[in-house]
Amino acid sequence: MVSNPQDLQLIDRFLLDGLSHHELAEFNKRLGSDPAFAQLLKEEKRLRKGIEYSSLKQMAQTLEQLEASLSKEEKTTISMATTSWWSGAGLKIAASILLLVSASAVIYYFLRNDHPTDPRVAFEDHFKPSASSDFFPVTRGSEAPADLVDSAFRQYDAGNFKEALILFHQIPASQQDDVLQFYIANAALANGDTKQALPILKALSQNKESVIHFSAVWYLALCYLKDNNLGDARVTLNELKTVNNSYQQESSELLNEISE
Amino acid sequence: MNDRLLVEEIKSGNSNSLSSIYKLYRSEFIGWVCRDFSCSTEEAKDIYQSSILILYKNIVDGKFALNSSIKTYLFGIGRNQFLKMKKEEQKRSSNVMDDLIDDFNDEKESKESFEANLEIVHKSLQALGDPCKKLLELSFFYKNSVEAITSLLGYKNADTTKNLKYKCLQRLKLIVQNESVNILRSTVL
Repeated sequence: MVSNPQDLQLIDRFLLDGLSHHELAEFNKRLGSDPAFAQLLKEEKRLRKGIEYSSLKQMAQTLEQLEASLSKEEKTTISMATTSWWSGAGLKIAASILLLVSASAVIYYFLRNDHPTDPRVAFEDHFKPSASSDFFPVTRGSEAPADLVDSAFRQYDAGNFKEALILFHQIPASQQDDVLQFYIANAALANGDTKQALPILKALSQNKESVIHFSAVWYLALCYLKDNNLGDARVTLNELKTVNNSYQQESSELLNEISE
Repeated sequence: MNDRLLVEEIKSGNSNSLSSIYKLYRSEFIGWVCRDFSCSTEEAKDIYQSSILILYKNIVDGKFALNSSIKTYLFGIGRNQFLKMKKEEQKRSSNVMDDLIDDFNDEKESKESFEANLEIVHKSLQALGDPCKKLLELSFFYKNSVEAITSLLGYKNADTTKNLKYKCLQRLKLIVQNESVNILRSTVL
């Protein structure tokens, strides 16, 4: 069925909600009295959905191809790295080591400690923002307006750290407590803003009586890692490693990963 | 490129911008899904592809209004996709297409018949080729105005674009009709 351009333009505007009240009333009236026009609308809707579907299907195929090519690249890179190491100088080094050191425990020590994880990779592996349920609202002593605090934590829980920070900062400074500060630091860190997180975590980690002391120390260590400051990260992690706390084991593991 | 520019590029039909987003967050997303949801890498890749496709559709539909960053929004979609996958034991990215088909089917036709029609239009659109294909996609999928399409495709003026859009639609309809007749014939035979 060949339709006229005016009808198509009218349907176009109808489907894009572009008709005025008056035009819409006329349109609906015509739909009721003109079966051919009603059929045209149905066909047009179907055609447009088909075009939408087609566009999405093409994009899905493009993504599949892109993924296949990225996966292939990854495999090639890993394979090349392994091959070149074993076929080049690495083979000689390994052979020398095997000749010099026969005990497998020493080889294990070598493999573990000669390849420290990049600090920023270690950060990504270990950083997970503290859940709001860890300290909020049980120990929260703030008298800030409940709806503002709740809104901030709702954004925080949803992973919208930028929005959470905006709301956290709207809470009057006089009503900010350590727990709120701690979550501000976490949200900042999740946003990659170590400049904001670092002074807060440093201050919080000084108070050894606080319920969030060990958490503050842990996130301070992660903050140092994010900044590629290995020295301070190690010192801070050692602090957690040597006393009994819930981060003791993970600190020890992380220290091993970043040790020289 | 910042988020706002990426969104604008995608809305203008530039699929390279979506590929850039895909590459940008892929490694972090897959690592996060594997670590936090104990998924295999293959499952994480499927979730990532589904999430990117949903992000794409939401950008085009104007549902993503840049109230958060693309990354936060994408990871939020990823979390929901994981929960959905676990709930329904859906594991392949093609299921996202099934969901989208359900969304399109607002007149509640039988799924088979509706999907068959969509496939006919898809094939017909491929047969139609550019520039008509591009023009119709920019118009009906990306929902660009005639003026925007005129500028994007470098046509003389809005009237030229309107005329071409009409002609392209008529050509597409004709191919769809022929395709439907061919399928009907092959079914009868």
